[in-house]
Amino acid sequence: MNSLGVSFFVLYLLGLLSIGYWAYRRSVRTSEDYFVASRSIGPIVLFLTMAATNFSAFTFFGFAGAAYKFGLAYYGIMAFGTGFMAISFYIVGRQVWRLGKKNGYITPPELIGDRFKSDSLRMIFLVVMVVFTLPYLATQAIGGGIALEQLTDGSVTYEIGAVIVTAVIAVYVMVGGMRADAYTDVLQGIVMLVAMLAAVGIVASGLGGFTEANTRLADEFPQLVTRPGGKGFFTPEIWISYMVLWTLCDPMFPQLFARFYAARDEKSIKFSMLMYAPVTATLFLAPVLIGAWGNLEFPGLTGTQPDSIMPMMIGEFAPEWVLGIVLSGAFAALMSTADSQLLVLSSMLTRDVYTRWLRKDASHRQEFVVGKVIVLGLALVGLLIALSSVETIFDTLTKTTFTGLAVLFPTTIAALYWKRATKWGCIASIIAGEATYAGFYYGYIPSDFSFGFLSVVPVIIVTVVVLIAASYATAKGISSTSA
Amino acid sequence: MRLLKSKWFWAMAFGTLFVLSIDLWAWDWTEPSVFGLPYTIVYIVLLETALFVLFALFNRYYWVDKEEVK
Repeated sequence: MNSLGVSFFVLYLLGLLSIGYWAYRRSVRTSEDYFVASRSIGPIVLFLTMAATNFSAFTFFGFAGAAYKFGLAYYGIMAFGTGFMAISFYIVGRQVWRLGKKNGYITPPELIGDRFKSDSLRMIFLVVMVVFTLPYLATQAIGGGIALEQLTDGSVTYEIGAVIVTAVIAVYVMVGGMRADAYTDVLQGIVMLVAMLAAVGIVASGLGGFTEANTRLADEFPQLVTRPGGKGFFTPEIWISYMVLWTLCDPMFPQLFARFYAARDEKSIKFSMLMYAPVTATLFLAPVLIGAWGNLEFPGLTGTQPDSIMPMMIGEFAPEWVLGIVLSGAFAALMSTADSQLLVLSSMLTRDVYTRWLRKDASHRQEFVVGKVIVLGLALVGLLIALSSVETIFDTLTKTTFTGLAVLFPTTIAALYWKRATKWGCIASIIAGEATYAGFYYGYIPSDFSFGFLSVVPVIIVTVVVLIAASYATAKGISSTSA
Repeated sequence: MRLLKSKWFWAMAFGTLFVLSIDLWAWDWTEPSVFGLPYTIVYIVLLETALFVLFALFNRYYWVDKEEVK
């Protein structure tokens, strides 16, 4: 058993629970305080909670695995693509914050439904967000189980690990709501950054220094240092597709969308936007370098083996206790995403289902209590998915999350900026977008129709065209409720 | 300063940065440069720096807070 690593991890969990208790002491018992911290999150905390929520366990293990296969070109699309995506903080975030403050919105479907005075559209928007977020929540529990099993050399099984990680998240989210969520993200963001930088330093040192490692990579695997990358994966079409995907999908993650409501003022959102470029430039380089360098020490990995290249490289060059600290960084990444997903799903089920359909006269205090119960219920559902074998549907939904959510972007832009948009236009747009994506995913539409781009590009074109056409076809007058 | 308050200027600026990111003219350069990092990494870091500067100017000159509107 890696005693030092486990001790560090236990201290880290205790730190999270302490922050949860601190947030509870500062809380007011209303749904607005519980779900969006009374719209009080300032610039630094907002930036760190946005970043920590945005970067999941995939940032650690997935980036390194992809860089092993495709090379350093992976850095460009992840770092610049995610940094560029922050432009949506102005396009979407600013308007969402203004409307949320003016009308008291807490969930994304509330804004969309109220703008078009449509419960049907609100429910469709809710269903899409829940369907594509819930499996993603379960992947975080799975990641936690695997990482804890690795950290303890199998002394704690995957199942027990998933239970421990889920239980800790559920406790501090139930107790402290958005305030606990945001402030634990600060700790998690710092742990993540330190772990990443420590990992790249240790591995570079083991390979004879930073410059030596890069020079060897260029000599031995020249295809991994070109822009198209290994297997020529990054064609210009793929590059443009990822730029479109990140920019349209990320603000549609309900956990990021809801953070715009939680901002204290527009300066807080501006600061987050500004800092995204430097943090993605710095943080994302570490796993990509480690993954690509992995070819020097462990050539020829196939299948899912490259996904383990990060712990393999650290295990090769660092003492065992360092692996524990780096794995804590991975825990930080996955827990900061899972807690935010848990809270925003709870807010939507509370406000958009319970209060809207079951108890229309529910007070903010009642919503506060119901929200906590739903957090517990969702944590159990996520855990059950993680522990069960419903992998087929689960795997499909996880793989399709990004494009599935990007379909909501045109409707959101129409709600915020286009007065001629109608509820029927938006409903038709979402249905057409998801149907087109399903067509590509299941092979009913030949991949030739994407012309070398990822399917998100034709899907978004269909979504926008249908939105415009159906809105003009069903327009009776100009709505006056937009921002 | 008037230029920095024009939405067309910002659409052009961010659009140009997007086009620059495609980088077709040096697609397969592999020569090691700073710290042995290949051109593609150094280029992306430069683009990120340009993005940071653009966001700073955008926030300062174009994005007007709601309080300031009042």
